Amino acid sequence: MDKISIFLALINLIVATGPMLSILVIYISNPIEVIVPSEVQGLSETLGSFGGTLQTIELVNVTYNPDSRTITLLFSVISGLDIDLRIDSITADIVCATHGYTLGHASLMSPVTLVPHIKSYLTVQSHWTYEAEQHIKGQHNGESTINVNLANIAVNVDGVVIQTSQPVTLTNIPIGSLEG
Amino acid sequence: MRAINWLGLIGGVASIALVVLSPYIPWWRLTVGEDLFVVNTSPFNFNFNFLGSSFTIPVILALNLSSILMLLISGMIMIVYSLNPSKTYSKRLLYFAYKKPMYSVILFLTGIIILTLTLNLMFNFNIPIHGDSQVSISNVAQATTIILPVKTSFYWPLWFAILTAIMCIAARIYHKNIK
Repeated sequence: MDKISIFLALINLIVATGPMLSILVIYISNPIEVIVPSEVQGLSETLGSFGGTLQTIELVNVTYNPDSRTITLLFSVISGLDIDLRIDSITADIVCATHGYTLGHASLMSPVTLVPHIKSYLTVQSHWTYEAEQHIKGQHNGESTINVNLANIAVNVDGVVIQTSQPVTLTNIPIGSLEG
Repeated sequence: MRAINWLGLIGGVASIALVVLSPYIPWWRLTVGEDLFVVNTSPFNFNFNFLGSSFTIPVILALNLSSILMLLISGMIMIVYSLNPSKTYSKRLLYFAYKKPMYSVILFLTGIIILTLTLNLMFNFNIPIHGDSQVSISNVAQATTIILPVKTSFYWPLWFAILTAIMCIAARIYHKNIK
Protein backbone atom coordinates (compact mmCIF):
# COMPACT_ATOMS: atom_id res chain seq x y z
CA MET A 1 0.00 0.00 0.00
CA ASP A 2 1.59 3.29 -1.05
CA LYS A 3 1.60 6.59 0.80
CA ILE A 4 -1.35 8.08 -1.13
CA SER A 5 -3.58 5.10 -0.41
CA ILE A 6 -2.69 5.29 3.29
CA PHE A 7 -3.31 9.05 3.30
CA LEU A 8 -6.74 8.64 1.65
CA ALA A 9 -7.70 5.80 3.99
CA LEU A 10 -6.72 7.99 6.96
CA ILE A 11 -8.88 10.86 5.64
CA ASN A 12 -11.81 8.45 5.34
CA LEU A 13 -11.30 7.22 8.88
CA ILE A 14 -10.79 10.64 10.49
CA VAL A 15 -13.67 12.33 8.67
CA ALA A 16 -16.08 9.45 9.30
CA THR A 17 -15.31 9.05 13.00
CA GLY A 18 -13.79 12.38 14.10
CA PRO A 19 -16.94 14.50 14.50
CA MET A 20 -18.84 11.66 16.20
CA LEU A 21 -15.97 10.99 18.65
CA SER A 22 -15.69 14.73 19.36
CA ILE A 23 -19.40 14.94 20.16
CA LEU A 24 -19.13 11.88 22.42
CA VAL A 25 -16.18 13.48 24.27
CA ILE A 26 -18.08 16.78 24.67
CA TYR A 27 -21.12 14.99 26.09
CA ILE A 28 -19.19 12.35 28.04
CA SER A 29 -20.76 13.46 31.33
CA ASN A 30 -24.28 13.16 29.92
CA PRO A 31 -24.28 10.82 26.89
CA ILE A 32 -28.09 10.82 26.63
CA GLU A 33 -27.87 14.42 25.38
CA VAL A 34 -26.14 13.18 22.23
CA ILE A 35 -29.55 11.96 21.08
CA VAL A 36 -31.98 13.92 23.29
CA PRO A 37 -30.53 17.40 23.82
CA SER A 38 -31.41 19.56 26.83
CA GLU A 39 -33.29 21.92 24.48
CA VAL A 40 -36.02 19.26 24.33
CA GLN A 41 -36.90 20.62 27.77
CA GLY A 42 -37.70 23.87 25.97
CA LEU A 43 -40.01 21.91 23.70
CA SER A 44 -42.11 20.69 26.62
CA GLU A 45 -42.21 24.27 27.94
CA THR A 46 -43.46 25.38 24.52
CA LEU A 47 -46.20 22.74 24.64
CA GLY A 48 -47.03 23.92 28.16
CA SER A 49 -47.31 27.50 26.89
CA PHE A 50 -49.69 26.31 24.18
CA GLY A 51 -51.89 24.60 26.76
CA GLY A 52 -51.65 27.68 28.97
CA THR A 53 -52.80 29.84 26.06
CA LEU A 54 -55.99 27.79 25.74
CA GLN A 55 -56.66 28.27 29.47
CA THR A 56 -56.59 32.07 29.15
CA ILE A 57 -59.62 32.10 26.82
CA GLU A 58 -62.33 34.19 28.50
CA LEU A 59 -65.79 35.29 27.41
CA VAL A 60 -65.68 39.07 27.71
CA ASN A 61 -68.97 40.23 26.26
CA VAL A 62 -72.16 38.97 24.62
CA THR A 63 -74.51 41.10 22.55
CA TYR A 64 -77.68 40.18 20.71
CA ASN A 65 -79.23 42.04 17.79
CA PRO A 66 -82.90 41.03 17.56
CA ASP A 67 -83.38 42.59 14.11
CA SER A 68 -80.76 40.43 12.46
CA ARG A 69 -81.12 37.60 15.04
CA THR A 70 -77.33 37.81 15.46
CA ILE A 71 -75.51 36.94 18.65
CA THR A 72 -71.95 38.21 18.99
CA LEU A 73 -69.54 36.65 21.47
CA LEU A 74 -66.32 38.47 22.31
CA PHE A 75 -63.53 36.30 23.73
CA SER A 76 -60.14 37.41 24.99
CA VAL A 77 -57.01 35.26 24.88
CA ILE A 78 -53.36 35.76 25.83
CA SER A 79 -50.82 33.72 23.87
CA GLY A 80 -48.05 32.34 26.05
CA LEU A 81 -45.96 31.37 23.04
CA ASP A 82 -43.09 33.43 21.71
CA ILE A 83 -44.35 33.39 18.13
CA ASP A 84 -47.36 34.88 16.39
CA LEU A 85 -50.25 32.44 16.09
CA ARG A 86 -52.91 33.00 13.47
CA ILE A 87 -56.44 31.86 14.27
CA ASP A 88 -57.90 31.37 10.80
CA SER A 89 -61.31 30.13 11.81
CA ILE A 90 -63.45 29.00 14.72
CA THR A 91 -66.71 27.18 14.13
CA ALA A 92 -69.21 25.68 16.57
CA ASP A 93 -72.86 24.77 16.94
CA ILE A 94 -74.75 26.78 19.56
CA VAL A 95 -77.06 24.45 21.44
CA CYS A 96 -79.57 25.25 24.18
CA ALA A 97 -77.99 23.76 27.32
CA THR A 98 -81.36 22.87 28.84
CA HIS A 99 -83.14 21.27 25.88
CA GLY A 100 -80.31 20.35 23.50
CA TYR A 101 -82.00 22.36 20.75
CA THR A 102 -79.63 23.73 18.07
CA LEU A 103 -79.95 27.51 18.00
CA GLY A 104 -77.46 28.32 15.28
CA HIS A 105 -73.95 27.94 13.92
CA ALA A 106 -71.17 30.22 15.17
CA SER A 107 -68.05 31.27 13.33
CA LEU A 108 -65.12 33.64 13.78
CA MET A 109 -65.83 36.95 12.05
CA SER A 110 -62.30 37.46 10.73
CA PRO A 111 -58.90 35.80 11.24
CA VAL A 112 -56.96 37.03 14.27
CA THR A 113 -53.22 36.99 14.90
CA LEU A 114 -52.32 36.29 18.50
CA VAL A 115 -49.29 38.39 19.39
CA PRO A 116 -47.09 36.85 22.12
CA HIS A 117 -48.04 37.76 25.70
CA ILE A 118 -50.58 40.42 24.63
CA LYS A 119 -54.35 40.15 25.07
CA SER A 120 -56.09 39.55 21.75
CA TYR A 121 -59.80 39.50 21.05
CA LEU A 122 -61.80 36.99 19.02
CA THR A 123 -65.24 37.94 17.77
CA VAL A 124 -67.50 34.96 17.15
CA GLN A 125 -70.89 35.51 15.57
CA SER A 126 -73.95 33.36 15.11
CA HIS A 127 -77.21 33.96 13.25
CA TRP A 128 -80.05 32.31 15.13
CA THR A 129 -82.63 30.61 13.01
CA TYR A 130 -86.33 31.49 13.07
CA GLU A 131 -86.93 28.10 14.73
CA ALA A 132 -84.35 28.97 17.40
CA GLU A 133 -86.18 32.18 18.12
CA GLN A 134 -89.45 30.28 18.41
CA HIS A 135 -87.75 27.78 20.77
CA ILE A 136 -86.61 30.58 23.08
CA LYS A 137 -90.00 32.27 22.98
CA GLY A 138 -91.72 28.99 23.72
CA GLN A 139 -89.38 27.25 26.14
CA HIS A 140 -87.62 30.15 27.87
CA ASN A 141 -90.50 32.58 28.17
CA GLY A 142 -89.86 35.04 30.99
CA GLU A 143 -86.15 34.32 31.20
CA SER A 144 -83.70 37.12 30.51
CA THR A 145 -80.71 34.83 29.99
CA ILE A 146 -80.12 31.23 28.97
CA ASN A 147 -77.21 28.83 29.13
CA VAL A 148 -75.88 27.52 25.84
CA ASN A 149 -73.35 24.89 24.87
CA LEU A 150 -70.82 25.40 22.15
CA ALA A 151 -70.72 21.97 20.51
CA ASN A 152 -68.60 20.46 17.70
CA ILE A 153 -65.99 23.18 18.13
CA ALA A 154 -63.33 23.37 15.41
CA VAL A 155 -60.45 25.83 15.61
CA ASN A 156 -58.01 26.37 12.77
CA VAL A 157 -54.65 27.60 14.10
CA ASP A 158 -52.07 28.24 11.39
CA GLY A 159 -53.58 25.46 9.27
CA VAL A 160 -53.84 22.94 12.12
CA VAL A 161 -57.47 22.05 12.89
CA ILE A 162 -58.38 21.17 16.48
CA GLN A 163 -61.83 19.60 16.78
CA THR A 164 -63.56 18.65 19.99
CA SER A 165 -66.93 17.08 20.65
CA GLN A 166 -66.60 18.11 24.30
CA PRO A 167 -69.13 20.96 24.69
CA VAL A 168 -68.21 24.26 26.33
CA THR A 169 -70.99 25.82 28.39
CA LEU A 170 -71.57 29.56 28.28
CA THR A 171 -73.84 30.84 31.02
CA ASN A 172 -76.14 33.84 31.22
CA ILE A 173 -76.42 34.61 27.53
CA PRO A 174 -78.88 37.55 27.32
CA ILE A 175 -82.11 36.89 25.42
CA GLY A 176 -84.27 39.60 27.00
CA SER A 177 -85.49 41.03 23.73
CA LEU A 178 -86.60 37.63 22.45
CA GLU A 179 -89.08 36.91 25.17
CA GLY A 180 -92.53 36.18 23.92
CA MET B 1 -1.80 19.69 -24.69
CA ARG B 2 -2.31 18.85 -21.03
CA ALA B 3 -5.05 16.28 -20.44
CA ILE B 4 -7.92 17.41 -18.20
CA ASN B 5 -10.89 15.35 -17.13
CA TRP B 6 -13.52 18.07 -17.59
CA LEU B 7 -16.34 15.91 -16.25
CA GLY B 8 -14.34 15.35 -13.06
CA LEU B 9 -13.50 19.05 -12.80
CA ILE B 10 -17.18 19.99 -13.07
CA GLY B 11 -18.07 17.23 -10.59
CA GLY B 12 -15.43 18.42 -8.11
CA VAL B 13 -16.48 22.08 -8.28
CA ALA B 14 -20.15 21.05 -8.05
CA SER B 15 -19.41 18.95 -4.93
CA ILE B 16 -17.90 21.97 -3.18
CA ALA B 17 -20.75 24.23 -4.37
CA LEU B 18 -23.25 21.71 -3.01
CA VAL B 19 -21.72 21.89 0.48
CA VAL B 20 -21.68 25.70 0.37
CA LEU B 21 -25.33 25.90 -0.79
CA SER B 22 -26.90 23.33 1.49
CA PRO B 23 -27.10 25.37 4.73
CA TYR B 24 -29.24 27.92 2.88
CA ILE B 25 -31.53 25.69 0.83
CA PRO B 26 -32.58 22.28 2.16
CA TRP B 27 -32.77 19.14 0.05
CA TRP B 28 -36.04 18.16 1.71
CA ARG B 29 -38.53 20.04 3.84
CA LEU B 30 -41.39 18.84 6.03
CA THR B 31 -43.96 21.43 7.08
CA VAL B 32 -46.88 20.89 9.45
CA GLY B 33 -49.63 23.52 9.35
CA GLU B 34 -48.46 26.91 8.17
CA ASP B 35 -44.88 26.66 9.48
CA LEU B 36 -45.95 25.54 12.97
CA PHE B 37 -43.50 22.65 12.71
CA VAL B 38 -40.75 22.71 10.11
CA VAL B 39 -37.88 20.34 9.39
CA ASN B 40 -35.31 21.42 6.82
CA THR B 41 -32.79 18.76 6.03
CA SER B 42 -29.90 17.76 3.80
CA PRO B 43 -26.86 15.56 4.48
CA PHE B 44 -25.04 18.74 5.56
CA ASN B 45 -27.66 20.52 7.62
CA PHE B 46 -30.58 19.64 9.87
CA ASN B 47 -32.85 22.35 11.12
CA PHE B 48 -35.81 21.67 13.39
CA ASN B 49 -38.36 24.29 14.41
CA PHE B 50 -41.44 23.72 16.56
CA LEU B 51 -43.70 26.66 17.49
CA GLY B 52 -40.69 28.98 17.39
CA SER B 53 -38.39 26.68 19.40
CA SER B 54 -35.45 25.23 17.53
CA PHE B 55 -32.62 22.97 18.59
CA THR B 56 -29.81 20.80 17.29
CA ILE B 57 -29.46 17.08 17.91
CA PRO B 58 -25.73 16.48 18.54
CA VAL B 59 -25.65 13.04 16.88
CA ILE B 60 -27.15 14.51 13.70
CA LEU B 61 -24.76 17.47 13.91
CA ALA B 62 -21.83 15.01 13.98
CA LEU B 63 -23.17 13.18 10.92
CA ASN B 64 -23.68 16.52 9.13
CA LEU B 65 -20.08 17.55 9.94
CA SER B 66 -18.76 14.24 8.61
CA SER B 67 -20.75 14.68 5.40
CA ILE B 68 -19.55 18.28 4.95
CA LEU B 69 -15.89 17.35 5.43
CA MET B 70 -16.19 14.22 3.29
CA LEU B 71 -17.75 15.99 0.32
CA LEU B 72 -15.48 19.04 0.60
CA ILE B 73 -12.35 16.88 0.66
CA SER B 74 -13.60 14.58 -2.10
CA GLY B 75 -14.48 17.67 -4.20
CA MET B 76 -10.97 19.06 -3.77
CA ILE B 77 -9.39 15.68 -4.50
CA MET B 78 -11.61 15.34 -7.59
CA ILE B 79 -10.36 18.73 -8.81
CA VAL B 80 -6.72 17.75 -8.19
CA TYR B 81 -7.29 14.48 -10.07
CA SER B 82 -9.12 16.19 -12.95
CA LEU B 83 -6.25 18.61 -13.52
CA ASN B 84 -3.73 15.73 -13.47
CA PRO B 85 -5.62 12.67 -14.71
CA SER B 86 -2.67 10.95 -16.33
CA LYS B 87 -0.35 10.92 -13.31
CA THR B 88 0.44 7.57 -11.69
CA TYR B 89 -1.42 8.46 -8.48
CA SER B 90 -4.51 9.90 -10.26
CA LYS B 91 -6.48 6.69 -10.35
CA ARG B 92 -6.34 6.44 -6.56
CA LEU B 93 -7.58 10.01 -6.16
CA LEU B 94 -10.41 9.35 -8.60
CA TYR B 95 -11.42 6.13 -6.89
CA PHE B 96 -11.47 7.90 -3.54
CA ALA B 97 -13.58 10.84 -4.73
CA TYR B 98 -15.99 9.76 -7.45
CA LYS B 99 -18.37 7.72 -5.25
CA LYS B 100 -18.83 10.25 -2.44
CA PRO B 101 -21.62 12.42 -3.99
CA MET B 102 -23.46 9.24 -4.97
CA TYR B 103 -23.20 7.94 -1.39
CA SER B 104 -24.56 11.29 -0.09
CA VAL B 105 -27.61 11.08 -2.36
CA ILE B 106 -28.29 7.38 -1.69
CA LEU B 107 -27.87 7.65 2.10
CA PHE B 108 -30.00 10.80 2.23
CA LEU B 109 -32.86 9.32 0.19
CA THR B 110 -32.67 6.08 2.17
CA GLY B 111 -32.90 8.09 5.42
CA ILE B 112 -35.98 10.00 4.18
CA ILE B 113 -37.68 6.78 3.03
CA ILE B 114 -36.93 5.04 6.35
CA LEU B 115 -38.19 8.09 8.32
CA THR B 116 -41.50 8.30 6.45
CA LEU B 117 -42.02 4.52 6.55
CA THR B 118 -41.26 4.42 10.28
CA LEU B 119 -43.74 7.22 11.03
CA ASN B 120 -46.31 5.43 8.89
CA LEU B 121 -45.81 1.98 10.40
CA MET B 122 -45.27 2.97 14.05
CA PHE B 123 -47.67 5.90 14.44
CA ASN B 124 -49.91 5.49 11.37
CA PHE B 125 -48.87 8.99 10.22
CA ASN B 126 -49.31 9.05 6.48
CA ILE B 127 -46.42 11.33 5.53
CA PRO B 128 -45.56 11.33 1.83
CA ILE B 129 -41.98 11.56 0.59
CA HIS B 130 -43.05 14.38 -1.71
CA GLY B 131 -46.55 15.84 -1.55
CA ASP B 132 -49.41 16.77 0.76
CA SER B 133 -51.35 14.72 3.27
CA GLN B 134 -53.30 15.03 6.51
CA VAL B 135 -52.38 13.42 9.80
CA SER B 136 -55.13 12.90 12.33
CA ILE B 137 -54.37 12.54 16.05
CA SER B 138 -57.29 11.57 18.27
CA ASN B 139 -57.50 11.82 22.04
CA VAL B 140 -60.55 9.73 22.94
CA ALA B 141 -60.41 10.72 26.64
CA GLN B 142 -60.68 14.42 25.83
CA ALA B 143 -62.91 13.85 22.78
CA THR B 144 -60.46 15.87 20.74
CA THR B 145 -59.07 15.37 17.26
CA ILE B 146 -56.19 17.33 15.82
CA ILE B 147 -55.89 17.40 12.04
CA LEU B 148 -52.42 18.32 10.86
CA PRO B 149 -51.86 19.23 7.21
CA VAL B 150 -48.43 17.88 6.28
CA LYS B 151 -46.44 19.00 3.27
CA THR B 152 -43.13 17.57 2.15
CA SER B 153 -41.05 18.68 -0.79
CA PHE B 154 -37.70 18.09 -2.39
CA TYR B 155 -35.74 21.17 -3.38
CA TRP B 156 -33.41 21.79 -6.29
CA PRO B 157 -30.14 21.13 -4.38
CA LEU B 158 -31.18 17.43 -4.38
CA TRP B 159 -31.39 17.43 -8.20
CA PHE B 160 -28.08 19.31 -8.25
CA ALA B 161 -26.60 16.62 -5.99
CA ILE B 162 -27.86 13.86 -8.32
CA LEU B 163 -26.33 15.72 -11.28
CA THR B 164 -23.05 16.07 -9.36
CA ALA B 165 -23.05 12.32 -8.60
CA ILE B 166 -23.69 11.55 -12.30
CA MET B 167 -20.84 13.90 -13.32
CA CYS B 168 -18.43 12.16 -10.95
CA ILE B 169 -19.45 8.70 -12.19
CA ALA B 170 -19.13 9.95 -15.79
CA ALA B 171 -15.63 11.20 -14.90
CA ARG B 172 -14.78 7.70 -13.70
CA ILE B 173 -16.03 6.19 -16.99
CA TYR B 174 -14.27 8.88 -19.06
CA HIS B 175 -11.01 8.21 -17.20
CA LYS B 176 -10.55 5.05 -19.31
CA ASN B 177 -10.18 7.28 -22.38
CA ILE B 178 -7.40 9.39 -20.87
CA LYS B 179 -3.93 8.21 -21.73
